[in-house]
Amino acid sequence: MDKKFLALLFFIPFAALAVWAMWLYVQQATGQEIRVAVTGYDPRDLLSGHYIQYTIDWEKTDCTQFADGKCPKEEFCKEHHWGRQCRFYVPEKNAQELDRLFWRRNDTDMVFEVVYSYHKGSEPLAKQLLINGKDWRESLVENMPLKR
Amino acid sequence: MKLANKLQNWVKQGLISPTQAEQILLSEQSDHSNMVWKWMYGIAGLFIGLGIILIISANWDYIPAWLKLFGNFAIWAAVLYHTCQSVINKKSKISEILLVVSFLFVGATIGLIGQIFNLNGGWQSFAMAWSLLGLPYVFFSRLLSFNFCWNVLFFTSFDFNFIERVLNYINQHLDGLILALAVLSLLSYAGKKLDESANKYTLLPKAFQNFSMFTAYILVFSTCFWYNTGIISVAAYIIAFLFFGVRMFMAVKAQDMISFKRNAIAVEVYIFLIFVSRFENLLLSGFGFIVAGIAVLALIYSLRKTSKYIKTMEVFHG
Repeated sequence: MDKKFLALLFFIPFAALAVWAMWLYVQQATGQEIRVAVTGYDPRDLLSGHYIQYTIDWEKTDCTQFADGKCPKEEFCKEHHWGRQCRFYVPEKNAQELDRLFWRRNDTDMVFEVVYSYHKGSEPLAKQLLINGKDWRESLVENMPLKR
Repeated sequence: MKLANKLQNWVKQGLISPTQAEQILLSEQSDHSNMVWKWMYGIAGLFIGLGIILIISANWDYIPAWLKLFGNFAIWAAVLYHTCQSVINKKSKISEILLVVSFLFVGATIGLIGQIFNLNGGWQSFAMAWSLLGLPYVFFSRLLSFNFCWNVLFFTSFDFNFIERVLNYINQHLDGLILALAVLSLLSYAGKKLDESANKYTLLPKAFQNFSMFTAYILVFSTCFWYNTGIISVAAYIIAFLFFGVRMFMAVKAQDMISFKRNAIAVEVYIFLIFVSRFENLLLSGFGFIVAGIAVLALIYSLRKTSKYIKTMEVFHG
């Protein structure tokens, strides 16, 4: 078998995934920043593995952030049995603490939001998880006493 | 009887010379040793690949995302370079490991990208992307188990709801079972035919043949538990026994004694499963098991007789 052909064949998946990663990076970096409020997706399974599952609370989201003033609900997240479900990956060691904060948000008046990079017509990419407007890592440190 | 003892007997009987016996023994030991090495290399490759998947997919809190991606692509590029070299230079042992590792790298990279960019895709899209992008590595592998695993992965990328609907239909309608077995047998046959011409290049058709037949056997064994009412369960058992019968007939035709014996064992296991699925009160089950045991003994006796008869047939002396 031709060596060049074999090398090409073996490097096709590599190149495809590298291009995909770069494309996602460009999409994330160049998209319009949109901030959406989030709420629990499924009370039985908020944390699955190392990511948070949530759904977008469109009633608490400011739709004027979008060009035509309408929230494009269908473009966000993936349809599942119980509604649209989204994911935000977090380190395993913080997952439980974040879960605890999330479920105490009504008692503590915490607001959970996710910042998305949005391009009209393509899947929005989640960039950052905010708690009361701050990055979740900062809020986690501030709310450590809640753990006790 | 061990091969060494057999050879000694043959030498005593004057069927072969001591030199021939020695050569046969050496050749057999070498074949066996090659097989063991292949398995060991395969397992080593699997462990290394799984280890890489776990390390890359784990959340490295203090490593920036771009570094994780870059590191992953850099290691993968090195692995791919050596994979190419080993395949071109026909170093079969090392190339098998590297092909498995390269394939696992595809899955690990997709997982890592999904994690870094918070993608929402589920298992099906992951399995589809992994199996299709990993196809070049499977294509060049001569490990049947690896090719079989690829078939399973690809199968799991299909719509689970559709498969669930099909299974629900099959476990209520016998025509569905017959159709499914016919389709799977045809697919297996197609895999076999394709393998005859493609085996030189790839084991994928052979793995597909095995996978289709493996699925057919799972369906047949499931009939013990699916159909619980009266005549439909009896009909399902008859279909299952017919299936085993056809497989044994085909084994005889293909002069495949191993397949014949495996199917004979499958029949015994199937009879056992029928009684397990029908387990009711202790007394009846006790009688049931005794009857089943006697039936299995009768089956073993008839199979031994049949096997001896078949061995003497011309077809087994091809």
